[in-house]
Amino acid sequence: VIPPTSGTLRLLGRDPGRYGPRREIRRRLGYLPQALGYYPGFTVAEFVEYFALLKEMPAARVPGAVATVVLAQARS
Amino acid sequence: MTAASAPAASRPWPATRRPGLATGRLLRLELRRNAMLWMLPVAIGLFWFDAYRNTMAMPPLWNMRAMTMQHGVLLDFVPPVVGGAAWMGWRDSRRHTTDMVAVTARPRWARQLITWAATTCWAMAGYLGCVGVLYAVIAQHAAWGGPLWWPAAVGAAGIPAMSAVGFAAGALLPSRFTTPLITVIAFFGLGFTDPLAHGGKSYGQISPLIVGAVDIGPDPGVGTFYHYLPDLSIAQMMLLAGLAAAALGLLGLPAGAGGRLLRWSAAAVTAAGLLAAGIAVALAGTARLDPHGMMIIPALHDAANDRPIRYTPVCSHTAIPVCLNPAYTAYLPVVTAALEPVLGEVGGLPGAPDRIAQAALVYQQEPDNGISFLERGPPITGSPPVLHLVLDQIPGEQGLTSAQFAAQVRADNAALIVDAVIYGGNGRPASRVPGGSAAAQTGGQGRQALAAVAAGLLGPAGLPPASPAAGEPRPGSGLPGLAPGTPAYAAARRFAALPAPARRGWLAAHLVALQAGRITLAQLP
Repeated sequence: VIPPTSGTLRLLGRDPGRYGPRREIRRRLGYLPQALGYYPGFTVAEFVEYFALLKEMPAARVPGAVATVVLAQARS
Repeated sequence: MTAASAPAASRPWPATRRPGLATGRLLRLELRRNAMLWMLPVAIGLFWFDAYRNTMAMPPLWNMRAMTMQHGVLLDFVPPVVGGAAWMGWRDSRRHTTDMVAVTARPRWARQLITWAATTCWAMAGYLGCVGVLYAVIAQHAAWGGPLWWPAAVGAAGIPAMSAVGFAAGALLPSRFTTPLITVIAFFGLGFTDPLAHGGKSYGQISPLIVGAVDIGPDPGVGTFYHYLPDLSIAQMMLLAGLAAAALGLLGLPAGAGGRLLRWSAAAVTAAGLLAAGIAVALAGTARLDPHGMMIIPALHDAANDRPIRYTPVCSHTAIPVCLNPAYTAYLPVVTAALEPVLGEVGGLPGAPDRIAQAALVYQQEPDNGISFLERGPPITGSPPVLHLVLDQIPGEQGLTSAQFAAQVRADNAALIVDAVIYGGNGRPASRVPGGSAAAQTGGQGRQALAAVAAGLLGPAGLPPASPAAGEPRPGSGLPGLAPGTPAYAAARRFAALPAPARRGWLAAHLVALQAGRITLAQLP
């Protein structure tokens, strides 16, 4: 997020200029780049779990997240 | 700028209550899909080809083999570990995931440290496996003593350092050229640290390839009679830990690596690492050779390590027992066989040593980057007299064969033993007897008879009367050689031709008269 030249910026009700709130924002932020990168060595489930853990999502929710995107059959 | 307001989104999930568990799961994922796993066969192959074979070619002494291992193992692990770590550090740039991971909640530095930790775990597992196998094989071969852990510890400290340097290079300089370049630089950089070390008080001794004193290297006498000094190893480990900390700290310095506190912590880690590395280099510069062949760093030295190692010697059942340090058990038969002819001839006679005991050498640094190997005192001392046997080289070391070793032991000691008996005991060499060596050729009949009997005793032991040079003292003693064609030479040949019991019987009966100069050449049997 580019810092504002003047005034204040609130994103998802938080100040992205400070580390703590920015971390909270990132936990809620989804990001889909145009050129999707991935780690070829990871399975789909591992890749989703990896990013879920980086986003501080409880690991127990990962299987559900995979199923949600209809990739359960490709988990391994 | 237009102010805009939007309702704050509800929390999509509660913050994880056990961050350690999440870190563990990330580590598990990184371990399962880590490039270092695929580099292990390369590391193991290099280790077997270089360090293992060179180590096993050394004599089966813990000190020699462990020290040889340290010298080779780090260079063997540099290419796969640095290369694998750089490859992992470059992963996000290579896989176009930099932006995706940048917007996650977990700080980048923390994520990178987990990836590095997994990479290092595999490298360390490979290293420990290789060293474990090597030490297990050494344990099967070594006759005495236990594993020497300090060389292994230096190698173990080198693995995280190499991994950190490679990972930091890959992460901070993402390029397809980074991995090969940093691998080559690390390999030659480490390899070139070896020649930088020279003599005592050299900063180059901080190189983790250096084991003990530069000019000695793996030596049978180092760490056998006295404890292996960890001073240099501690400094080397301090350097490696410092390098690892500095490299890992660098990862946390760029903006975006984490919050302010995290980046300050990274800066502190980097500074502490550089400080530790600098101190380690400075400490290595103060190292000096101790008399036992190892390097002392005064600031790190523990005086308790200067005590000799207690051991029960292994002894032969010969006329004069030959007693060696138990680490040399494998060489007792060769040493005994080399000396037995002489021991049987003079054992029990006045002046003969009561026992032959192995002694440690004294190492002394020379100003021209050399090291002198000195004996601790007269070869025969004490009452009853004990001959101090020095084995500065053993079979397998520098291509020395068992036959060459036996010849060396015989040449160094047989003449000393005979010298002690014939010239009145206490190791008084003939050259110190008035008219000693030269008199053997031209002196009175009594002195010629002494020389002839000495040569006659040495002949059956494999030392011909004329060696090494007529009239010149033999190395290690004052016993003269005899010139062929002289009456003394003929008498020596005649005396040597007698059966051993006859020689010994005559010597026992006439030794006092012989030493007093009352026996002429013609009276020799």
